[in-house]
Amino acid sequence: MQTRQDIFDHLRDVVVELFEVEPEAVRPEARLYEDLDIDSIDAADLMVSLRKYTGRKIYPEDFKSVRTVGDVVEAVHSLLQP
Amino acid sequence: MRSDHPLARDPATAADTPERSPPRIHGPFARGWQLFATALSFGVFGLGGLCFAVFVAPLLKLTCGPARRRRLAQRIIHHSLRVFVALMCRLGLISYRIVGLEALRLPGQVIIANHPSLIDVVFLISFLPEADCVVKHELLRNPFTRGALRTAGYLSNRSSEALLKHGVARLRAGHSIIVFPEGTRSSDSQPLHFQRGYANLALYAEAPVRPVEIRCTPTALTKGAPWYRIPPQRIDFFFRVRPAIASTTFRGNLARATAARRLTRHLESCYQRWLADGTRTTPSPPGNDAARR
Repeated sequence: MQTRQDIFDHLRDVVVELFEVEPEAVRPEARLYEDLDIDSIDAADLMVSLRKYTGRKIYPEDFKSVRTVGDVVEAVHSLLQP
Repeated sequence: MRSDHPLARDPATAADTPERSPPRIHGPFARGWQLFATALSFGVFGLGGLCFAVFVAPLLKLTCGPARRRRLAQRIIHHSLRVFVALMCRLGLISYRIVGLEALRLPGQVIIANHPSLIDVVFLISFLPEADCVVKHELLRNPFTRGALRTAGYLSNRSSEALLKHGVARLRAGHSIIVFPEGTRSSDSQPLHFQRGYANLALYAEAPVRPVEIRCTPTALTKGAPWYRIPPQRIDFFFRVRPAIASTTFRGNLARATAARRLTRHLESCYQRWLADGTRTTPSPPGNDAARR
């Protein structure tokens, strides 16, 4: 069972690796599009990576209202609740 | 004067050659003519779009399947816009030159360009007998453009998923796709910034990216400017088709998203360099430039 911190750490690694974002810029309050330059194509790639990480099916609807890194962590965390 | 021009025989480039500086239009009468001719051009464009929607689109729908319909519609749009560009040249509103037309017409390329004016895409389509375009979603709803653009199967910028899916299929079938990566018309006050849809498209399809540099002198038909606020002189367009970039060389072992960023950074810096070369805003003399293509 992953904690929020585990999810955040994984997310930061992915974002840094795939999208060449500085690690320090990946903070819970950072906005995906405005601050980290993650566009809709990147978001689709990110979902693929999160699907592998969680082993769960992820539906775009679950991420509709996601704006910040913290939102993603929260959405993934709630997905993993039994 | 035109006989030594390597492209002189190609009708698409046979516009009148711009002189060193565009002639100013003097006097209230001449200014009135310019405004009238501009209004006429816009009117012809709108009327053409409506005619397509009312007559051509239904006819194509009745007579051929989707793929052939797209191809025919694109060809009709290409020829119509060639006539339209020729009309604006004859009216003395604009002139243009292009360097590297043959390279632009190679198949299966992602063609990108900076976007200084409203009519950049009109020119690019007039240069390309068959090409797909990525267009702003609103244009697929606009009554003057909807009929033609939908029948031609131009791709909407609204859904990146659909854009990638259809775009990659078209590229693999050997069609070229025109994209303005800035997503909107260029702004003089903002540094050039590209979105990455075109890069992802090229990387997915392993297609080359063909950059076109567009210069518009003087600045005209920019974003937010009404049509009648045109400078009192002829508007000279210059198109330089730059060498293609193999998207695969940026890929290596990188994830596509990473490669798209590097490709985009590279192209942004290329465009900044090309456009900063302000000494040649209206490149001249014509012969030398054409020879360098």
